[in-house]
Amino acid sequence: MKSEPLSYLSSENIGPWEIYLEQVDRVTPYLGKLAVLVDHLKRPKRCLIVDVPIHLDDGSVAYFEGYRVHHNTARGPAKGGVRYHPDVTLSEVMALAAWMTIKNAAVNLPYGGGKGGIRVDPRKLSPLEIERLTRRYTSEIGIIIGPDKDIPAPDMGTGPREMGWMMDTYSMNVGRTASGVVTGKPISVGGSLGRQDATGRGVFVTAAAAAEKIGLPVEGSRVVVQGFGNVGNAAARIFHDAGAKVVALSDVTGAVRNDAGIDPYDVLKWVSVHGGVRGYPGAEAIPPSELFEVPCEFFVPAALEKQITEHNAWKIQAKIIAEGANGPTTPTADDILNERGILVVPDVVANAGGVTVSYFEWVQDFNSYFWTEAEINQKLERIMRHAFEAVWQVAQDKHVSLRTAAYIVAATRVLEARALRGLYP
Amino acid sequence: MLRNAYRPPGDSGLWDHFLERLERTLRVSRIHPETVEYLTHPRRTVEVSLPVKMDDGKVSFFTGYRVVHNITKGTACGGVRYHPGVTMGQTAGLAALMTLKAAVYNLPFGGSAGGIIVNPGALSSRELERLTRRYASELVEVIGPEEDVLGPDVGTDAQVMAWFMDTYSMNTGQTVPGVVTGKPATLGGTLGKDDAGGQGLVILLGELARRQGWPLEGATIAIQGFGQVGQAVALTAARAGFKVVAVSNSQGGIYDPNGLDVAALEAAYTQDFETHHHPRHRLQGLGGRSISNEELLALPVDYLVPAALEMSIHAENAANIGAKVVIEGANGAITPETEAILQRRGITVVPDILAGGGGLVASYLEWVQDLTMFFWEESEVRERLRESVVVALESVLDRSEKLEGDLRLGAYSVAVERVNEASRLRGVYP
Repeated sequence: MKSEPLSYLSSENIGPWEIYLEQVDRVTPYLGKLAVLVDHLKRPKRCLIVDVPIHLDDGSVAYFEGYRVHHNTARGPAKGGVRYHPDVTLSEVMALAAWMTIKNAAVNLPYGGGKGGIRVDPRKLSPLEIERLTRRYTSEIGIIIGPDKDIPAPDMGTGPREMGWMMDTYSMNVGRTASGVVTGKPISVGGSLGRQDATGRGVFVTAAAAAEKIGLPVEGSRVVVQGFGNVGNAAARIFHDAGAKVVALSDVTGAVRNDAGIDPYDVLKWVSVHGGVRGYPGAEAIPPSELFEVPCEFFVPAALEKQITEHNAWKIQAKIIAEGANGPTTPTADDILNERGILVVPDVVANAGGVTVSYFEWVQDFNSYFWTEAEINQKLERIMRHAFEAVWQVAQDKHVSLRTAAYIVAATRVLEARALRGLYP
Repeated sequence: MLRNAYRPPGDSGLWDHFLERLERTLRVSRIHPETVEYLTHPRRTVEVSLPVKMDDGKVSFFTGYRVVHNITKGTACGGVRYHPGVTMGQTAGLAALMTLKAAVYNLPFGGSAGGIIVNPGALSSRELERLTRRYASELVEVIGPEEDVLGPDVGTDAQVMAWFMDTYSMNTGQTVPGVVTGKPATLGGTLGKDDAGGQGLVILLGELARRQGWPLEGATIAIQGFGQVGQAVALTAARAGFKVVAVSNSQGGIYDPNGLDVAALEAAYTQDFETHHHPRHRLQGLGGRSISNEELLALPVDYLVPAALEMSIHAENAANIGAKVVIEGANGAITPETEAILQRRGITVVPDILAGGGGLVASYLEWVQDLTMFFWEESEVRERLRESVVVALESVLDRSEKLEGDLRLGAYSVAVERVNEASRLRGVYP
């Protein structure tokens, strides 16, 4: 029997959840015998909506809407970030939780998928108010989180500071130190080394693995990086260290190009003083739209979503695009790139270095024994390479893009676990 | 002391054999009298009634057991057997052997065992699942990754372990892979687990042969029992250069004096164990001529590995055993009185608690990975397995020489002293 649509999302307001459902429908034909279980992916396991009342600094009380969704836990505890943003909706949190299920499975981490959020503009709250908000929210969702149940992490609007508060609140509630309840914590309360560069490192490792497959040497190749935040600057530095030449960079302040190569360490120094790449003296300024035309072997979109569109996809000259950002390529652009034979390493694999080091943090918290940065980087590389290899194999076998292959790999792993565990009771 | 020992109801074969061998060991070992009696009493025996709604709508009742023999050295760990011949005495005996095996291998485990009186082949997959979930639910208060860890045994497989893991996890509201071992890798199982029992046995045999000057390359092996352990022994031994001349299942066996085909053994193994189906122990396609199980035991081989059920070598067939060395792949394969006959005939016995440690070591490695949720490469698992086997063998050989006794006495002595030392240090609670 086919399952009924979820009644708690009205069809006119279905939002991002619908995009996710369409993605599942697209891979269903590739799932073979497991396809009969696919409804398991189309319904979140549980959605918790909580009211989060706090005292504001002026003594009044404000009420906020909080969410925590467990999309799936067949492969392990739920895992996913907490977003503080005024536009957070249940549909968005559900879709983000589902994408975590996909990402965790695509990389073969022993996690399901979860996500949380509060409908709030954190810029309008004082630090003390944000702390009270975080602590109350943590207590409210305390019934479903825990190191073996669901492990939150930072997302838009939250960071190590909030994770420290969440860890403290949960630990006080359960009466023991439970550092494994959240990841992305400051080092001093059980955080992991190597987190800062993790996503950028993963982008490099998977891009290099893809290059190996098509016989493209990384050394001497040209790289263009869009976005010079955490992900972009780490990717640029690691490509540079591997002997590649970064020929163009951009951030919100502008774009720069130098065909002779740009030293990203030098750019980083400039940015720390001037707040952006604009005016960087070692390269020539170009209009941001021109970034897509710079001749290169690797293009790394590491800024926002929907950057590669039907307007610029046909201009890109790279052989490999490694998606450092989430959803940087529109579906239409994706088709154009496929047609042009440009290899796209999709976000769920390319930028999974962050969640992988989150996973390492959680493992280290279990052991209360912490690894060196070198150990972390080596393990990260191993896991990312395994992840890419599995996706590559499926893409070859089924003649599909790496993005479709990643979804097939992920959906297969989740449904395989579901099949093995059976239907409780 | 043994007069006060626990007496299981009904058939008590394996438990009695354990007590008999324990008594023999105590005569030559240094032990602490106040706590040694712990070993003669299982710490906890549980019997549960398991009503299951069958596919035809009727309700059938099954009986299940779980015995925790000893937890002085750590969390209890032991298999779950689905077999019509399961008894409390057998379960208690297997639990005691697990205590000793864990101690020989110096693992931080105590010993336990469980089982259900059932012929799993007669149930549908749905019925088997309901039975498994009911058994797990009945035991949920006494099992757990730090209380008692379950694993596969005769009649249970990775799928049954997956149901255990799911039931326990759902009951406790969190993901708890560490409550069972022998799970599929997707659910927190370890790589290199499926054939670890056979691997461990062959590594042990190789090391032992090298040290004792026994034949190695081209030496002949006959294996009784073609389940998880038997098949893995056959395949690993053949790959390692031994000549596997005979294998058998409960119906009978096949024999080829020139050695069975390695590729065919490999195919049989893959078919049975890498497809998540219940093993069928098939011999088709392996070549050779048909022989009976009794004929297999009488073959003039260098090594005989009984890897079927317990007590397959008994007083009636002991006189016919044709091998020079018998390696107990199955727990309790040789009864104590038989062992005396074999010894008089100059046949060496490698005891279960030494020879069958590979599976337990792999369970331990899986449990460690589950506790830390960080998973190793297959080569790492294999390397650690090899190390554990070599260290265990050395401690047993050393002890046997000191006691001027057989390998069983050496292994029991090492194990009993280790458990006893832990008991002495912990004292008698409260």
